[in-house]
Amino acid sequence: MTLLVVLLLILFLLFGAPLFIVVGSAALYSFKVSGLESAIIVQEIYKLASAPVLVALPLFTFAGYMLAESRAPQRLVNISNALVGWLPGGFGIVAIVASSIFTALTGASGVTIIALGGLLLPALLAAKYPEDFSLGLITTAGSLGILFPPSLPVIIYGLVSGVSVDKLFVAGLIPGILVIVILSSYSIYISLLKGIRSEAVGFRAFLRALREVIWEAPLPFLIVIGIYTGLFTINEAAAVTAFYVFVVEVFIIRDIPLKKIPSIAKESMVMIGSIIVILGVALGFANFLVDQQVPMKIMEFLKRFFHSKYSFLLALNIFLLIVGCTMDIFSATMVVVPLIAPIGNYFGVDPVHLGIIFLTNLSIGYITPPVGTSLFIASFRFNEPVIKLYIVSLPWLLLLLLSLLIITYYPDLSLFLLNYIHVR
Amino acid sequence: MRKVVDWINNFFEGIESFFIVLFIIVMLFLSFSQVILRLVFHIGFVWADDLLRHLVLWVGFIGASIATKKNKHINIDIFSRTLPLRAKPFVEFIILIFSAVIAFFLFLAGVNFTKMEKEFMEMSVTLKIPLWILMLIIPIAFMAMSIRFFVNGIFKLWEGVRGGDEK
Repeated sequence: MTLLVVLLLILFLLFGAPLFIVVGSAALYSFKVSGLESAIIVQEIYKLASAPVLVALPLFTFAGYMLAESRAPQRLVNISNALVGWLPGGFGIVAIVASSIFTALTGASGVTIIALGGLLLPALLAAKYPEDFSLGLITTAGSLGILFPPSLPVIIYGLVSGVSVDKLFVAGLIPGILVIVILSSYSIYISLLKGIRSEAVGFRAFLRALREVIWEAPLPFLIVIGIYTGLFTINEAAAVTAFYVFVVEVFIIRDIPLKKIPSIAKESMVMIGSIIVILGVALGFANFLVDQQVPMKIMEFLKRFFHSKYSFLLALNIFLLIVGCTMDIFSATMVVVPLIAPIGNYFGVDPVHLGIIFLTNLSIGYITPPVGTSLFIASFRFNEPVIKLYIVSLPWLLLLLLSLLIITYYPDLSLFLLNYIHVR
Repeated sequence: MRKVVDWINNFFEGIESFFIVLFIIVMLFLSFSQVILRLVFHIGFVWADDLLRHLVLWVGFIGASIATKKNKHINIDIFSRTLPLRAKPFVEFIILIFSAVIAFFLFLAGVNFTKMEKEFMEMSVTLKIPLWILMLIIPIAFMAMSIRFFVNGIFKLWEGVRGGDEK
């Protein structure tokens, strides 16, 4: 009977049933079978209201949606171009850096590809970068910057696993930079190979780009320094960011007319709502799984195949790559983390390091064929067949996998900063 | 018929949107003033944090209800791309009705939970309101989602049947 229910639910899931309905029915069914009150599920949902970093979710999301709606993407590209555009491979690096910052600020989703891709792709092509290279880069853009504050996936990971969000942000810094460096090197390599000349923008243009972005420029520094020095909690950083973005975009630069705020608020909360219902039922279901010692049982099973931390990590990498290409990063975190975290613990993986591996892995899933989300978003946005995107994003995928290997098997890369930066 | 249902549906979305915008504005100003109060004056309202968290819960569940109306819930959509055009509305119909049933059961679970809490009459220490009132959004939103899944399902079925006739 249970097997039948599981198969049916998987079928519903693959045909597009909302994830919270599938997880919710799994929870309802298992509570029913074990003779537990289904009210406990709702109790777990209500417990969300006491989760420490909950308030950061809607505030950061609202801020991100406002930024995406404004002309901030254009300004971000201009200032990045003024700063690093003169390097060999310059405009490729501009695209990589700007996308990383934008993804961190808006929460990892297709937003980066849609908002920035439209600006970056024509600019890359105009700078004589090969079309394949450029398309692949834009498709990859949505996977970058996920580890940097105030990225939403990191906050949700902290919420689900109980690992300190501040620690995750500190630990993610170097791995995040590593990814940028590796991808940028490729851009430099291609530009040298194809003899693409970079041009410095000139002092005037630099000043103009700086003046344009003068109101938004303090924002990343405010968040990063605020969190890393312990001046702000995550919630406070979110409060300051949302308030600041609101005042700047609506009243100072006036990119967004006040009458547009309600629809932006609604759009962003529809996204938060769809995350919160999954979070709620997933916590309810996880409560049951832990109660039934399911993670323990999986562990017993895995122990027979994996004898060392490293063989476990390799299997984890592969598993998460598959999960990452079928699910978006939020759902995957909410559904998989409660199962994986205790197992990782058993194999002696540091919980903070596990978080970094997990999120890096899932972000790569976005461009993993055959069903990575970014591939479809880019295909839709740029009107190219998905098959072509499989091919053009392949070198980028391989480079990201290389970074993943380094991040996974060199824990100190993530952990050593924690010795120097003390956060709560 | 469809027009009347759509009108009612939009009417409720209007009310929901109003509350979302109201709550967001409250969150925006309240959370920011909390930061300023703490940093500058080293004080804060004890009730503010509790209120903020509950506002997130309310905003989230109202958002989820609108997500249901707009078919914007997070899902894993792998197979439906491969479905023949004719079959698609029917498959969606089945999934939507199934979702309506599950949302209804979650509604029932929510009602039971709120009832239990109501019997305890536990009060929120900082907000001075009975807890069950703060929880009320959970059953309300699940009911709203159930109805919307059902309505969307019926329209899909209708679309499927009509589409079949036209061809």
